[in-house]
Amino acid sequence: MQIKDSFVINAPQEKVWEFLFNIPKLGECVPGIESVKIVDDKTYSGKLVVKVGPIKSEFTGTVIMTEVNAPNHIAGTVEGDDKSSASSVKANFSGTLTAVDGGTEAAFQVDANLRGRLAQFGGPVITATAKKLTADFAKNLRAQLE
Amino acid sequence: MNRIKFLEPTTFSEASALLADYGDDAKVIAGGVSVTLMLQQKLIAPSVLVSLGRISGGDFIRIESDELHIGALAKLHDLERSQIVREFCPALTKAFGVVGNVRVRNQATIGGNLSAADYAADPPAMLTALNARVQLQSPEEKREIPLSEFFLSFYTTALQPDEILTEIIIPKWPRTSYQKFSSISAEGRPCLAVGVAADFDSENICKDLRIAIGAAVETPQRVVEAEAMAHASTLTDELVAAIANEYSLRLDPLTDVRGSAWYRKEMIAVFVKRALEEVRNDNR
Amino acid sequence: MTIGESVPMLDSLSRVTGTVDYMVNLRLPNMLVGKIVRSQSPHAKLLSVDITSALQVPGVVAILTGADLGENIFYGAAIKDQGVVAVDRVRYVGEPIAAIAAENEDAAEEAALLIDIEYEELPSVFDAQEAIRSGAPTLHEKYPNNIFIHSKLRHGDMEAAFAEADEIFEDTFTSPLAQQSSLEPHVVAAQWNGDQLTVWAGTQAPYMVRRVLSEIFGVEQNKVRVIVPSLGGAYGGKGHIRIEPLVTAMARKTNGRPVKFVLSRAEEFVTVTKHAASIKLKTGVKRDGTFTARQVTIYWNGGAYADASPMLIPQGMVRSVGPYRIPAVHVDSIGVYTNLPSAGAYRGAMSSQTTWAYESQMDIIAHRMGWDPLEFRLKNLFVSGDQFATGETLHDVHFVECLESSASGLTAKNAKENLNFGDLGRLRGSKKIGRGYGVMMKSTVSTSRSQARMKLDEDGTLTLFTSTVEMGQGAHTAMAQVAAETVGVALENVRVVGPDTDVTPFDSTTSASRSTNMMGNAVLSAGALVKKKLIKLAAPLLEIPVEELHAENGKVFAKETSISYAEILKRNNLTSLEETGEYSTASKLDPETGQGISTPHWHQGAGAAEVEVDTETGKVTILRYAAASFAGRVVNPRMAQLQNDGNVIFGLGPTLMEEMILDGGQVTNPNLADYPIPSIRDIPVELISVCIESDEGELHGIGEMTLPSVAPAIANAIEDAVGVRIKDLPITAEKILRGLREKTQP
Repeated sequence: MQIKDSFVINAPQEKVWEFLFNIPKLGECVPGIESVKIVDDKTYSGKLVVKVGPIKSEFTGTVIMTEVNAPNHIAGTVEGDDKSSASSVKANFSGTLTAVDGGTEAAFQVDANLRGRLAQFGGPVITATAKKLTADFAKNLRAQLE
Repeated sequence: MNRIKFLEPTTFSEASALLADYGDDAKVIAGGVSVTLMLQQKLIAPSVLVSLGRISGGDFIRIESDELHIGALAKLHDLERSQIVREFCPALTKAFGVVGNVRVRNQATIGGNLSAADYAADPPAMLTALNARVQLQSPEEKREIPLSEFFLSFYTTALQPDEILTEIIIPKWPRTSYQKFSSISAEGRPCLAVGVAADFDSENICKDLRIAIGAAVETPQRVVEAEAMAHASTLTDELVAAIANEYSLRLDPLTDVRGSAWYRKEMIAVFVKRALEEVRNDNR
Repeated sequence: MTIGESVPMLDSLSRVTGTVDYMVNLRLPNMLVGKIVRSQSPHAKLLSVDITSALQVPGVVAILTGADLGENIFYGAAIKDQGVVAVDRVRYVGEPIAAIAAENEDAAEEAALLIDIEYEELPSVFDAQEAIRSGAPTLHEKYPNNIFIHSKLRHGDMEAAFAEADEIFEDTFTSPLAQQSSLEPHVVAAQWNGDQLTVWAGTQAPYMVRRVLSEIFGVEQNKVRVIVPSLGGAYGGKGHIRIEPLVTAMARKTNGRPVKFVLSRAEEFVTVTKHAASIKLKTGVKRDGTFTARQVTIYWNGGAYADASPMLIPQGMVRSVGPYRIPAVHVDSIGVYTNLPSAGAYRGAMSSQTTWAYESQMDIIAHRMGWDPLEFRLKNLFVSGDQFATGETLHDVHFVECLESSASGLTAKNAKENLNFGDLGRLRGSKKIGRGYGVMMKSTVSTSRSQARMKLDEDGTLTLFTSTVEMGQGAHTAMAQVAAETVGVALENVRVVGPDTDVTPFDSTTSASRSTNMMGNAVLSAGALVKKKLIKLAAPLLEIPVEELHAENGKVFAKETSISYAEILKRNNLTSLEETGEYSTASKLDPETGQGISTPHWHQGAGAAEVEVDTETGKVTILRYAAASFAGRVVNPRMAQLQNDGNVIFGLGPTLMEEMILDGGQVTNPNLADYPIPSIRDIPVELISVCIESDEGELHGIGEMTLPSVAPAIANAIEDAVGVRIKDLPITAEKILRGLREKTQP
């Protein structure tokens, strides 16, 4: 599935860019994140808990930054496993920052592939959950920066 | 090894106390229709099942002060066959009677159906149109909220972890309609569910109108501005079409195996129109 | 007279009271539970499979991985490209990587979650036509462009024939990936006793399973015993070897304990499928209403392994031409590897997809040329004596009768005249009615053999030993009827045993609707031998020459005297009498031209549909469906009719509902809520079916005849009703509505 969105943050571009690399703080913006660790300057590992009604999944995984072009563009991959539901997720993401009137526009795209038992859950539920996650992330990011 | 503990309390308060004790490890089971499927597909793995099967008196169907009171443990099959329900609201009889197939209805309870909050279901839309209320029991207290505040999102309701839905209360409406559209198999889940409840005066002027859409959206939804178009008017063909189109315009349906968002937008217009026509002609 | 009698199925009581012994019910002493761990990647190198933690789980007895496999790692019915489990590479989501044998399901479950698999992802491809393009990932090195079979039929000069045509039509039709969805999933149990192997398998082909297992594990066939109980349906999905090698390999590690694997519904979807297909028809016609040429190009999506495709795809070639006189025909039937679960036979194998194509095009042609679709067909349908595109001469073909019967079924006056006049849609005219037809021409297996052994006991019991599989179609009942009549005993005295390869003689397979014909003829042959022997033994006892004696109703008799079978045996000091009968056919086609004999006889069926389309929603209601099949000589009229009816209902699935939906190679609807199959409430408002018999009276198959015509008949009826032509299955209400919108807003 693909999620594409953009939002405007009332803060200067450099501040936003810096924040993206403040891993502990950035991690706090992702709903359901439990523990983020820096492995090296390009790699982070962590645990993400996602709940849809009674169904809870815990993904343990790694984020690898493949492109870092200060101060406007990042791209990377995410790979996570949820052993208890025999599921895994693989995603490519990219984000671009542009200075605009009123602050910074952050545009991002995520191409994700959910595999395993959870993948049978149902297209709209998975898409809606993913969208909600990214929407909450955006909201939290703005709250931290504005 | 991973044997699930099967507990059988005899009252709702006992059941909710067990939920409070076990927290995340426990799951309520009534008819078992949704829960068994999720267990089988290994989407949930509770260590405790709190069965409501031994609770007596939880399946009542009765009229009290001109409102229909249904116990959460009433089976869909019994609701479908109930004379009381049929006389009170034939559209509700229809909504109960089209859920899944006869084998499902023999097992499933209305409380379970609502608590599972599966978006592709029939009763939620009809009950929302009827402005139903639900009673939620926790160890300490019982509270009542409108059904419109009960469904929060996919498979998520306003139930606290230690609460159980015990009763549904439905006000009386003179004219009602339920439309279920199955786009593929007759026994499949709905592509679209439309519930309408309306009140007209003696000259056929509309006094009140509620139209709830289900199965095409995350939780049952109404478009209040469109409903308002009917107030103090007769439901002419033009008005019916206008309301139906407004619903189609305003709602953002989802895409799944039963239909795309585009198709559902089209069907919303078709079935809101059909439901309004049925209500207008007093085809109860 | 039992042939021709509508006797109830012999085990009908146990079926409805739930006492039938299905494979799912099998319990063996000391039995272990099996579970398969499957690939989550559609295409990857298997870097490591770590089972150390999994082995620690209490209750786990053994775990199988690719490292355990011996010499014959790769197997396959024709192309040996498939590992018993994946060895160093996985090629589809769901491919077995490891198997666990444990004391109970919980232990197996827990262990499964602890197996650590490392993949190195490779690019993947899911569409057949993309897979053959340069640059597409190669699945098997031996087939760099992913084409693993290309069957050709060449008959006549295409260029000249197309030049003669007044109009040429080119249309492409598609049929999606689908699943057989039998009620009972694949279930197999296996046990080794030294070098003796016993396998209890839910399979349609026990002798094929025996042969392949013997090859893979290097044991003689007589050391492999395959037992098949009643199946809860199969529909082709159990027609070839599937998980039997995996279960057998697992059983080798459990120290002689039997292990049983029961697949879940979700696992069914990654075990076998129906070929997705894209079929291009280029057809030339003349203004006088006849054909000049047809060129067929089919891309069959075989999935990750060849499996049964190398047998099915040449059959698909023959089944793609259609039942019409066309002087020049070329067919290219191409099998392509993709990163999907392997495809196999699905009821109406290959004809399901091809009949969809050629019968849909018939109406496209008829409409454009201004011809009546029914007349156009009747004018061109094969009759006995015509030559087919393989060069063979057709005998005992009754396509015209099948179509005429179906067509008249639609117009017949009956009690259910127009239903529900109060329907608003009908009154307002937003519901439109239309009619359409379909005719199917299908080959059966060209080369196969059936043997039947009969034992007549001194108490008058006749036991029929047969390896034909009872899967709910009533095969054992039909064979019992044939046996009873042939030997001349009452049906109550017949019992059917089998399949069990240690006990029942050879049969190629219970599929391709061949059993009534092939096993039936073997039974006839055995029965005739039994009668002959009885008469021979009776003659001296009655002192009447053999030529004057007859055998019937348990007695051998002449004009005034008779002797019972029991008496004959007793007086000859025999406790029983045994005979084996056999029936086989063998023919083949030239590999370059497809010329030769493709089938011992042709399967023929037709259907006519009257549908109502709700133009506001696109939803289709089948008002009436009339089906007809050629049945030769019907053994059990009630069962035959049920087969015909059942075929039509089954056919509604692929026509209106069935489609596997994938995302990155992962099946996203592997359950019967999101993969709908017809329910009893989806059946036509009125369903009529007819079995057409012939004077020649040959026993004939009936298992698939009226199925393939369903999809095109309905598509044609929809076009008749609302002018929308759907070329891609399934026909959904949404597709029709889009079609209607496009007509008004082009």
